[in-house]
Amino acid sequence: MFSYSQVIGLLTSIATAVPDTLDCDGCFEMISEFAEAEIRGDELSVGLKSVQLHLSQCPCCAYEYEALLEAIRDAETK
Amino acid sequence: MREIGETGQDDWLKRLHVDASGRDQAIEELRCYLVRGLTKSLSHRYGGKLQIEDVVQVALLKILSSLDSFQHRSRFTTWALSIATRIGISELRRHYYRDVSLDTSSSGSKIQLDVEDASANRAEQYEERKELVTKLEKLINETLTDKQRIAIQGTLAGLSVEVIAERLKSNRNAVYKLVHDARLRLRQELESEGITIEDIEMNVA
Repeated sequence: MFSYSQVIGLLTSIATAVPDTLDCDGCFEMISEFAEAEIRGDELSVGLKSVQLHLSQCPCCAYEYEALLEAIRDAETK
Repeated sequence: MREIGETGQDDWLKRLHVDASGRDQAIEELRCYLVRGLTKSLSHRYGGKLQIEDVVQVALLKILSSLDSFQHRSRFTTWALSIATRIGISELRRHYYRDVSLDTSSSGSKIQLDVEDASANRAEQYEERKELVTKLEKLINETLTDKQRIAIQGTLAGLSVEVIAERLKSNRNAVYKLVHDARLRLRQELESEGITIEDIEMNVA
């Protein structure tokens, strides 16, 4: 039996679900480029917009991306 | 030892090449860079029980064997960090979820959703939530495939698609597609039953 708080997470992901052209490996191939573009504040190309969309649909990749951004900041700190 | 900033991003490939002189020093510089990047960023995730040095060693092997696949779309160091981060998070997840079970039998038991602990200010609101959850439970059990239902069960339990894939002896891409297609299907089915996105959003607020 799953609690209502667990159900809320599923309902939220259902409400925000949109078609996604990338899978996790496709996202990963472009994630370092996407991270640098986002850090610089660049306008995103069509390819990088698909990464952005995948991150909005896949909590697994979004979590890794969050960790990557933190790692980039820390690695560059002398 | 040189600082990372002193190594041009294009120089990394030359310095790490298997025949390059000074390769060991380049590897050591990259190792230090990765350790500096991962130490804090992974320490507060999934309990943070991880030997960063071990993760970096595994990552270095992966990076050195994948140099040909670096496409110069980003700086070399960012690409290397992305590989090391993914390896580290995977290891953390594996350890963190090792005791969480997932019924992977193809027949899979029916999923049961509880509405009893749904906080509602009014009796009417509670009834709306109950109706929504009852419909969702019925749709999960009657319209999804066995594999989709098992994957949804995993996400309800808080497992990441990566961990679900491991339990199903599948791969992450395939499980992501299972889960994502299931969400789209459930959304479509709920809408055909007259439940709008706004209705859902009101009940999760």
